[in-house]
Amino acid sequence: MVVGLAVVLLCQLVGEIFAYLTHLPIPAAVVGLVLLFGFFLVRDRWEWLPFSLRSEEIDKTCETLVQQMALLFVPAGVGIVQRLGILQANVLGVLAIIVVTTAISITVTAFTFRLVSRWFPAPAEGQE
Amino acid sequence: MTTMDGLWTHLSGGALFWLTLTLVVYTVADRLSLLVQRNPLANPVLHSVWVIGTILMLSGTPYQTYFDGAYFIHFLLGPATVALALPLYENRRVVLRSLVPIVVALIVGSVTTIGSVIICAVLFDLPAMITISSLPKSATSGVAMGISQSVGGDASLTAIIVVATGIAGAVMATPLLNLLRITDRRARGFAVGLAAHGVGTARAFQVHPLTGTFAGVAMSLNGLMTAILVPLAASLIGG
Repeated sequence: MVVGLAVVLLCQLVGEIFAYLTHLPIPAAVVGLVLLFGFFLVRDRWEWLPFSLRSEEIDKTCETLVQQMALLFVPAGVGIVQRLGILQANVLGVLAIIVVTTAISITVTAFTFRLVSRWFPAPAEGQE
Repeated sequence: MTTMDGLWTHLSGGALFWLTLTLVVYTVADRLSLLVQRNPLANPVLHSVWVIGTILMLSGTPYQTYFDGAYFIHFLLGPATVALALPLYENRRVVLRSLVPIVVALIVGSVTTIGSVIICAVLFDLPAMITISSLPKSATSGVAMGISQSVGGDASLTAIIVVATGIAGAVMATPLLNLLRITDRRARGFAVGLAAHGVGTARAFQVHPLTGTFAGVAMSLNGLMTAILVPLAASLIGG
């Protein structure tokens, strides 16, 4: 767990430094994701890496974080108690933004994905 | 009675109580969701938020006190985004084979999301602060709050709209995609992850690992895309 968390945080930290120094509009966590992905790619080939970096521990930490991701949104979501006034004053518009645009977004994205994957068919594994 | 008041003051001022409350409420909400076969309406985030919110209002606790206590959980949003590298790595071959639809659906989906927010704001004559703060609504909380701040939005308002969007997406995705007759798990996952970030991705992983992976890919790519598009959109509507 400790090794796993250290590696994940290190990736995010490097992402933070990268975003700060380059002024690129790239979120630090996304840079961290790319770095960790790169690490997974080379891990099995670089046999000289210390054992703790090649252990399953890192995978387990990542698995736990991904599985419990929904919980992590709760503290920010509870913030609604602080903004009830402004939200109530614009309740229809805010509801439209939360519900309608999300439905549009899901619909358009799903149809685009399906349409394009018919033009560029991948091997059938992804299909049901 | 004064001992009880003293105890409450003592507990409500520290992190222990709020951290425990968040975990206990979420665990109960998650068990209940399991009990009803993961019915989307039993979304654990949705029910945790209103239960904890009600407790805060009834006890007269300022949100900041709660947030300071539960901050450790909130902090893990960043590491959880980084950790999405694992499902991405494990499914890299499937993802690579779908590269073209991924890129096209990402661009179309992200532009559609931001465009539809602007249209909604015009239709409902929303205050500029709400509009600006809603632009990054489909990016994951940590990322969206940063974007909102950089374009002069209200980061905590953004967080609320982002989480509400995630809950809405997670609740509607299964029935909506069934209605649209989209059966390809990749398309289903990608759409949910793009529109409803981490909450939608968590929901997608409940349905199927492949759906979850494509949701995770969409979520991380859309974090990036939103970070690029929102400053452009904000400067357009700003004049």
